[in-house]
Amino acid sequence: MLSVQNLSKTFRLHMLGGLEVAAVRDVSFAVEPGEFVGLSGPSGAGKSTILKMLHRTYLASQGSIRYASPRLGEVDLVSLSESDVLELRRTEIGFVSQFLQVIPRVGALDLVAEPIRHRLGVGTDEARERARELLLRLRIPANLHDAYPATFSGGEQQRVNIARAVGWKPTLLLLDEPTASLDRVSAGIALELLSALRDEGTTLVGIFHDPELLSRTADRTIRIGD
Amino acid sequence: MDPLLRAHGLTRRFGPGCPACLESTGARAGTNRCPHCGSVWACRDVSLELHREEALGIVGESGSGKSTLVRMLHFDGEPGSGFFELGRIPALEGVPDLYPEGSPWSRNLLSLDRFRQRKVRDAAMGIVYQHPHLGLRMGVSAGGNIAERLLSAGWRSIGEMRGRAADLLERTEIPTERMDEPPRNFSGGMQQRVQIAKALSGDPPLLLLDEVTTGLDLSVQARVLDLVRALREELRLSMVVVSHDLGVIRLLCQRTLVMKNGQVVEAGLTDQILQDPQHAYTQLLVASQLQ
Repeated sequence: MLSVQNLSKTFRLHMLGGLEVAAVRDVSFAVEPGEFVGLSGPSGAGKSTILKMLHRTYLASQGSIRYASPRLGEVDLVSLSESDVLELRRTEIGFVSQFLQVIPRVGALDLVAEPIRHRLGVGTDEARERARELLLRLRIPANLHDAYPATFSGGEQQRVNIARAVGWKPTLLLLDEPTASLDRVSAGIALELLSALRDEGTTLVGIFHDPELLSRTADRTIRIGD
Repeated sequence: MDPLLRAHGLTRRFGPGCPACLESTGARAGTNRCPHCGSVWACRDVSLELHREEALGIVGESGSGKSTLVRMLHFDGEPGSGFFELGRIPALEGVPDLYPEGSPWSRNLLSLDRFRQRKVRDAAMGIVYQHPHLGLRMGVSAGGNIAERLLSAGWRSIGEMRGRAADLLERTEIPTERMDEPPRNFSGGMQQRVQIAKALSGDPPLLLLDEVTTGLDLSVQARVLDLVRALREELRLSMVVVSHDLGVIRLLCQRTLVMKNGQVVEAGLTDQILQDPQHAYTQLLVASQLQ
């Protein structure tokens, strides 16, 4: 599904006189379809940078990321055209971080229903129904569903974020510490949802702050930075 | 998504130009004015592509050429040079000799005569300017402003035009009982919404937004942006969004061009531009944002 080869990333900071910061050096790994893989390693090892390169939010400095797209065939995410990257983000590749990507003045339920409606072609009512179930399952009470998530607590925002990411069942889901500020119960529910997604065929690559949590859920761990 | 618009080599120069211009202007030279001949290169060799239902952001400081660029696409003012083509659009099939036989692309729109440029503009584009007086006749009623646009698109029945105007104003949240008032009676946010209604009156697939929220109060800004987002989804619009506000670009645009001194210095996915800017100027721009 995913083959990362000799991936490197160097940031060049022009405001600091062109200072170069090597964030990722020569990383290679492969992920099979339907696997749930965790990236582990010390903080600063570049795990998050790798995920962002997989999503093309960061440009890789070197190396390749081969991705077997059901829609486009095998592509290199490092050099794929921007419009194809957008197409894959619309139809196959999801990204969930610890920060809620809010759309101002859109309520929680609509935020979660939107990708279900657009990407699965489901009608508005059904999409909202599925979104409602997901939010309730993640313990966001019904009286908050129409409120703006910008006003939610950090943990609530993360749960909305997870609901938004899993609702449309992407082919590949990238997870950047999606449970970082959740209590154990909520984190457990989130991981159950992610496992269920894997059982339905989604491939997951993620970083989790809690190694124990990671080892319980992921099929395999890849060490970065050794 | 199919491409809707492609352009390359877009250039608009004021002044005679000289052999030293190329070296002496642009982002690297730090100016768009040639010190040797005094020519101003408002926009130099810009290329862009827009897909259907996509929004492309253009950011940069004032004087970077972003408004010039969007006005070239709208055939406003002096004609510049370069290539600008549109994909096949049903609304344009009636324009004589626009698409070469069998080609998915139109002829170079910049070399069309004024008459056909007007036809293309009326059928395919709407524009909203930062200053409402550029897009609206302030002394003519809001409904009249829209009717004017409909007239040039070939509408003739007064009743139908009034109905369409009322519908558009309602959609842009202008109370229809005020449609007979001139926009100069309206607040800044309302004027922007009348401009949007007018821009969309011909049902264009392409909407050009030139700093539409600049100078508005925050809550008014929010309402205009919400309206643009809702209309984009409902009408499946493609958009070119010019703004110096990275928040507006982040909210609306999938891809972004960064301009400086008349040139594009960086182009990419909007989240990449904001999180992993490559060019020194983009890094400065992103770092200068208020959090």
